Amino acid sequence: MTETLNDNGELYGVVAEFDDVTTLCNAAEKVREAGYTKWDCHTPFPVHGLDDSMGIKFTKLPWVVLAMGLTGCTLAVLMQWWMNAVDFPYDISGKPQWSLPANIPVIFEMTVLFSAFTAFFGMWIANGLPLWYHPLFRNKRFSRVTDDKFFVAIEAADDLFNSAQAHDFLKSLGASDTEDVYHSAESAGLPGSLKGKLVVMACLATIPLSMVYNSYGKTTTEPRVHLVPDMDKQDKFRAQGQTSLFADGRMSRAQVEGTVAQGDLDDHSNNVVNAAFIDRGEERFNIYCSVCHGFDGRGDGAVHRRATELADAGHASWIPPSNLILDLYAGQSDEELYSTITDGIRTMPAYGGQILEKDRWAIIAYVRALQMAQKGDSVDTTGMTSEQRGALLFDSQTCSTCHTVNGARLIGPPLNGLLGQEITLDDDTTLVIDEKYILKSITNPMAQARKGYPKAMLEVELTDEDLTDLLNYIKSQK
Amino acid sequence: MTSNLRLTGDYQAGDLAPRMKRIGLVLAVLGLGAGAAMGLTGDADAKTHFWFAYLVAFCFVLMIGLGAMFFTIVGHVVNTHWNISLRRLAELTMGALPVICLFGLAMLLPFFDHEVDIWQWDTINSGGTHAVEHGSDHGGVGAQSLSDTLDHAEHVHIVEKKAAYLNRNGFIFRLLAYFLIWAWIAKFFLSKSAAQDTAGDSVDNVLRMKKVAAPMIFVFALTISFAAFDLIMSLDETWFSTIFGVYIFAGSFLASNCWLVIMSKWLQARGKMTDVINTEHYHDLGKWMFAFTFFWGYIAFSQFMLIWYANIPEETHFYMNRTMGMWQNYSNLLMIGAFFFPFLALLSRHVKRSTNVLCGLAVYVLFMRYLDLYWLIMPNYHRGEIIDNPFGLVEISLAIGFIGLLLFGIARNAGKQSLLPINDPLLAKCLGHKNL
Amino acid sequence: MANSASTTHLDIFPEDLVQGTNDFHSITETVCGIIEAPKPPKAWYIIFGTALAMLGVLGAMIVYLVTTGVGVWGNNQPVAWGWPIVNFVFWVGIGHAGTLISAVLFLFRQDWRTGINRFSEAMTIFAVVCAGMFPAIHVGRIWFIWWVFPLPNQMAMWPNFRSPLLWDVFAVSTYFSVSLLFWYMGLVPDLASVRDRAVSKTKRFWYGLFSLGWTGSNRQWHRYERAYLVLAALATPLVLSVHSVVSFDFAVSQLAGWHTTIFPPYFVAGAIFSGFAMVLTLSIPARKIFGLEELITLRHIDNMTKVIMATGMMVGYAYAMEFFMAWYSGNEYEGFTFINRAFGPYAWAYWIMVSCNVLSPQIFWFKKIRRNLVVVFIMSLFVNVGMWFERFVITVTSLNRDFLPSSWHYFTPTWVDILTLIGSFGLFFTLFMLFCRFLPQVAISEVKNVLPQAHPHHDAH
Repeated sequence: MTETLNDNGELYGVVAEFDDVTTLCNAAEKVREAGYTKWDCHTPFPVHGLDDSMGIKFTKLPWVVLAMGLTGCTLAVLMQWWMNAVDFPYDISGKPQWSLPANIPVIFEMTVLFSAFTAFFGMWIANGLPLWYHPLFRNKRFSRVTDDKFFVAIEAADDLFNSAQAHDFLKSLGASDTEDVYHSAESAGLPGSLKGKLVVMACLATIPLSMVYNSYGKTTTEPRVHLVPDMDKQDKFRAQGQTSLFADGRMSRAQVEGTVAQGDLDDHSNNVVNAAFIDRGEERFNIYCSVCHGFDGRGDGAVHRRATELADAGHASWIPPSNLILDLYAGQSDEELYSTITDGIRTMPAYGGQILEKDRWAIIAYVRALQMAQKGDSVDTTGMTSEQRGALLFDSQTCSTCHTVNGARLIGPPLNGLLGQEITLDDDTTLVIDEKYILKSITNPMAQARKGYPKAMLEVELTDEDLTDLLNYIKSQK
Repeated sequence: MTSNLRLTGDYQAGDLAPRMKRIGLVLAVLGLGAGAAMGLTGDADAKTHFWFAYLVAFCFVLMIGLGAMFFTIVGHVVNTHWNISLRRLAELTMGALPVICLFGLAMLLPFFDHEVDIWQWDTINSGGTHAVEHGSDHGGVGAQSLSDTLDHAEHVHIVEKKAAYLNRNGFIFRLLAYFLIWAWIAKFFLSKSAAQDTAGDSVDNVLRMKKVAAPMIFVFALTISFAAFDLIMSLDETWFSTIFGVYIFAGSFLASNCWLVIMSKWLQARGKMTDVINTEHYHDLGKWMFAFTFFWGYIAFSQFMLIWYANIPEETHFYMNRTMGMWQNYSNLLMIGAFFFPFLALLSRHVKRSTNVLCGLAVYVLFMRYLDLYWLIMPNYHRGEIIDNPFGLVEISLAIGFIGLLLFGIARNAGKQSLLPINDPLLAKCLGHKNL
Repeated sequence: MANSASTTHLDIFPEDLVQGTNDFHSITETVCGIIEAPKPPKAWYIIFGTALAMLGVLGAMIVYLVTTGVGVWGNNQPVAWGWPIVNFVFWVGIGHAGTLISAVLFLFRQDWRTGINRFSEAMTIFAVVCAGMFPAIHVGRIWFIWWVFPLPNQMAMWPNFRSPLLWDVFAVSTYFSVSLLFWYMGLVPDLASVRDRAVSKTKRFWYGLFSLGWTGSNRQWHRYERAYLVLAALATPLVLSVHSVVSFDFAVSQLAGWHTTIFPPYFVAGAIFSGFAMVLTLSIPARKIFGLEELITLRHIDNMTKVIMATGMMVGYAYAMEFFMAWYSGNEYEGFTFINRAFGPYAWAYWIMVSCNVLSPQIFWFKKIRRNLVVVFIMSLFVNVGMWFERFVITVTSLNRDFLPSSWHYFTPTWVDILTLIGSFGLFFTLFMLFCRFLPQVAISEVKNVLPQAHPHHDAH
C-alpha cells in the first residue's frame, strides 16, 4: 500500500508472488519440505487443498466452542433456577416453581449464544487479530492479495532463513516476483495521544454505570420523572373536588331527580347474620383479605411479610396493611368498612369488582366476629406515663401507617421535632407549628393540610385524655 | 467425466442376493411364526398384545423403507451428487416395500376378531362399548380415573363425530391406497434407475426421474402423514396432533440413513462397493443421522412442549399415559437414549468418519427408532393402567420376522441390476467430493 | 461427456455460477466498483429518498404512539393482539432467509449460495431490526423495556422464564447477535479488498479498521473456515428455534386456532418462504441497478423460486393439516375457528393468504416462468403479501370471535397502524440502501471460490 520505503526498519522476510493456485500449492509443499517453519501463504480466498500442502494442523477451536456452549447451557439452567425458584419464587396457579420444560428454550438460546461468541471471538484471538499494522502491508504488490494474486512469505525470524537463498528458492518454485519486506522504522503500536484519549473515554463511560449502580435498590422521596405523563396525570373530575365548570362549583353532581335504584342494590339490613353467614364471610375473608390482613385480621398476611422483608433489605417501600382489630376499625360503621372494601383505600385496591355485594357484608360480619373475639388483649396502662400511653396510641391508632417519628417520609409528614417548625400550608400560607395546630390536625386533619402531602388522613375521634397523651408523645419526639 | 472414471470394484450382488433371500425368508418365517405361536394361541389379552407388537414391528421396517424412498426422491429434486453411489441401495431398500406392506395388511385382521380391540374406534363405532369399559372396569383405579380426562359419554361422542373418517371401509381403502402408491413409486424409481445401467445415454432416465420426483415429494408427504394418522394416531381414538406426520417422517428418514450405513458396511465387508463408498459418504450419512436426530428431537420436543404447557384434557392424556408407572422409564430412555446420547456422540467429526463406530451407532439408533414406535403404540395396550413391562419374546420374534421380510424384499431385487448406478452422469462428482 | 450445454441437461449440470468471462480480478472490480463509484446510480437516490421519507413517517408514528399511548392502535378486546405482532412475525420471518442461505445451504454444500448470501444476511439483520422494534414500542412505556432482560431492577423482581414472550426476547436477541457476527465475519476479507483498493485516506482508515488487519494468511483462513462452519452449524438450529419460539407465543395458549402442535415447523417453513421471496424482491432490481447480472445469475433465481415452491407447499401442507385436525379432533371450538377463518368475516384475508402462498407459487413448475424476471418479481411480491396476511389471519381470526359471542368484534386497524407498517419498510429500505452503497453486496472471496481456476489441478486422476 504505502511505498515510503525510506523508513525501513528491520527485515521482516521475503515475499513471493504467484499467479495461480496450482503453482502456489506445489510451492507450498516444497517450502514445507524445505523445513521452514515461520512462513505462510496469503490468498484472496481459502484455497482448498492448501492446508494439506502447508501441513496445517487441525484447529482446536471446535472443542473450545463445545466447552463454552456447555458453560452457557449450565449458566442458563442455574440462572433460571435461581431467579424463578429461589430468589423470587413465582407462584402461578400453584404450579411447581421449577419445571424444566418451560426453561428449555432459554437454555437452548444461551447455549447457542455462548458457542457463537466463542467461535467468533475465539477465531480472531487465535488468529492474532485485530492487528493495527502488518509489515506486508508496506509492500505495494501485496495489496493484490485481496484481489487476484497469491503470495508466499518466509519470515526472517525462521532459523533457516537466508535472504538470497529464499529469493532463489521461491523463484525456482514458479514465483513471478520476489521482494524483501521490511518492518517500519516507527513504532507499530497506537499513537500515544490516541491511547490517552481512549483511557479518558473509558473512564467517562463508567460514570453512567456507576450512577445506575449507586441508585439501585434505593428509595427516594423525589417524585418520579414523568417522561410521558400519559397515565400519571390525567384530567378528571374527582369526588368532592372543585370546578369552575358548574355553577355550584362542585365536581360531584347530584342525582337527576326521579332516579331509582336498579338491580340488586338492596338494603343490607335484610341480611340475616347467622353462623352460615359468618362462615361465608370467613371463607371470602380468607380468600380475598387474609393475604394482606392475615387470617386473624391483625395485618400480618403473607404479602405483608414478604414485602416487609424486601423493604427491610432496601429493595422496596411498603405501607403495612391495617390491623383490623384496633379500636379505630372496631369503631367504624359497617358502611364505612363496606365502602373501604368496595372502593379500596390508600394502597388497598378496590374489591367491589371481585367480591359480590352480599359477600362484602358477610366479610364485615366476620371482621366484627374477629374484633369481638380478640378484644380481650387490651393493655393495662396503669402506672404508665402520659407519653408511654401516647406511644401505645400512636401505634394502635395506626398513626404509624402513614407517619414515622424518625424523620422518614411515608404518606404523611414525619412527626418528630414538630413544635416550632415552619411549614407551608395547602393555600401557600406559612405557619409555625404549635400544640393547637397538632391537636387540630388530629381531630380535623384536612382543615389546615400541609402542602406536598396527599390529603388522605382520616379524622380520628379520641377522648380528651387520649388526645393529651398522644400530643405529649409527639412533643417528646425530637 | 464418467469416461475418465475407472470403476474397478465389484458392484454386482452376485450370489449374495439368493443367499440373503434365503436367510431373509427363514428369519421371516421363524420370527413371524414364533410370534404368532406365542401370541395368537393365548387368551384375548395375549392376542391384543400380539397385534400391538405386530404393528410396532411392521411400522419399524415400513419406516426404513419410506425413509429410503424419501432419500431417493429428494436426491433427484435437489440434484445432489454425493448420494449417487448410495442411491441404488436406497432404491433397493424401498423396493422391499411391497413385501412389507403385504404383511402390513394383516393389521386388518383384528377387525374380524371380537376378542381383541386394537382399533378401538371401530369397536365404538360398531356399538361395542368394551373398548372404553376396558379401562374403567379393569383393576380398581382403572384407566378412566388415571388418565382419560374425558368422561365416557364425551369419549363416545367424539369418536362418533369422527366416524366419517375413522370407519372400517374407509380405513381399509386408505391402507390399500397408501400401499399401492408406495409400491408404484418404489417400482418406478427402481426400474428407471436400473434402466440407466444398460442405456447408452443415461441422461434421459435421470431427467425422467427428476420430473416425476418433484410431485412425488408431495404425494409422499401426504401418504406418510395420513398413514401415520391411521396406523398409529388412531390407536388413541380421541387424541390428535397436527405435527404427528412430521414426527413420523423425521423418524423414517433417520432410520433409513442408519440402515444405509449398515448396509454399506455389510456389503463392503463382503468386498462389494469398496471403492465407491468412501469415508466422505459415511461422513455425509453421519451428518444426516446427526441432523435428523436433532430434527426428531426438535419435533418431539415441540409436540411435548405445546401439549404439556397448554394442558388441555383432549390432548394431555397422551403424555399422561406415557409418564405413568413403567412407561415413565420408556419416556426417559427415549429422551436420553434416542436424543441426548446420539446427539452428543454424533457431534464429533471424528466419530462420523470412523466408519466402524458410525456403524455401531447406526445399529443403536435403529434400535432407538424401534423403541420410539414401541413408546407410541404400546401404551394403548391396557391404556392408562399401571401394568408391568409387556416387552418380551413376542416383540423380539416379530421384529426379527419383519427384518427378515425387509432383507427378503431387498434381496429379491438385488440381483437384477448392479448395486451402483454406474452410468449416472453425476457419479464422477459423487466420488470426488470432499467434506470441509 | 455430458457437459455439453444443451438446455435439457441444465437440470443435471446447471450453468456456471459466474457468467461471462470473469476472472478473480473482474469480480473484485465489479463488486468494489459499486462502492468506489463517485456517485451511486439514479435509482439508488430515488429509492433511498423514498425510504428516508417513510422512515420519517415511522419516527413520527412512534413519537405519537409513545406520547399518547397504545390506544392509538386498533388493538382492543377481543383482538388484543393486532397489527404489532402481525408485523413483528412478518419481519422476523423475512429475517430467516439470510441465515438459512448462509448457514443451511452452506452445510448442504449448495454453492449457489455465494452469489446471494451477503445480500440476504444484510436483509436478515435489517428485517430483525424492524421486527424487534414492534415488541419494543408496543409496551407503551418503552423506557421500561429493559425489564424484559434478567437485570436487577428496583422492584427486586426477575423476569418469568416460563413465559413464551420472554423466550422471544432471548431467541430474537440471540438470533440478531449471531446473524450479525456471521455477517460481519463474512465481510472481513471483503472489507480488506476494499481497503487495499481505497484511494482516499478516510476510506482506507475505516475499511482498514473494520477489516481487522486481514492479510489473507492461509493459517488464518484455516481457522476462519472452521469458525465459519461452526457458526453455520450453530445458526442452523438457531433458525429453527427462533421461529419456533415465535410460534410458541401463540401455540402454548389454549386458544383454538393458535394451539396446534404443527406450529413450530410450520412457522419455520413460512419464514423461509417469505425470506426467500424478499431476497428475490431485493435482488432482481439490485442486480440490474448495480450491474451484478453475471454474479447473481438466472440459475440463482431459478433455485430460489424452487425453494419458494417447496416451502410454499410445506406451508400449504400445514394449512391442510390444521384444517383436517380441526375437524378430526371432534372439538367444536377448533372446528368453528377454522370455518370462521375460511368463511367468516375475514374470509377475504384467508383466501388472499391461500392464493398468494399456496396457489400462486405453483406456476414455478414451469422453467420458463422461473427464469422470467418480471413474473418472478411480481410473484415474490405476492408471496410477501400472502405471508403478511398469514400472520394477520392467524392472529386476528382466532381472536375476533372468542368464546363469548357478545364480545365478537370486527377488527380494523387505525391510520397509525397502517403508517407504522409502511414506516417499518422505510427503516428496512434505508438500512438496505446504505448497505448497497457502502459495503460489498456480494461475497467477493466466496464467489472467487466457485470459479474453476480457484481449485488446484492435481494430476492424481
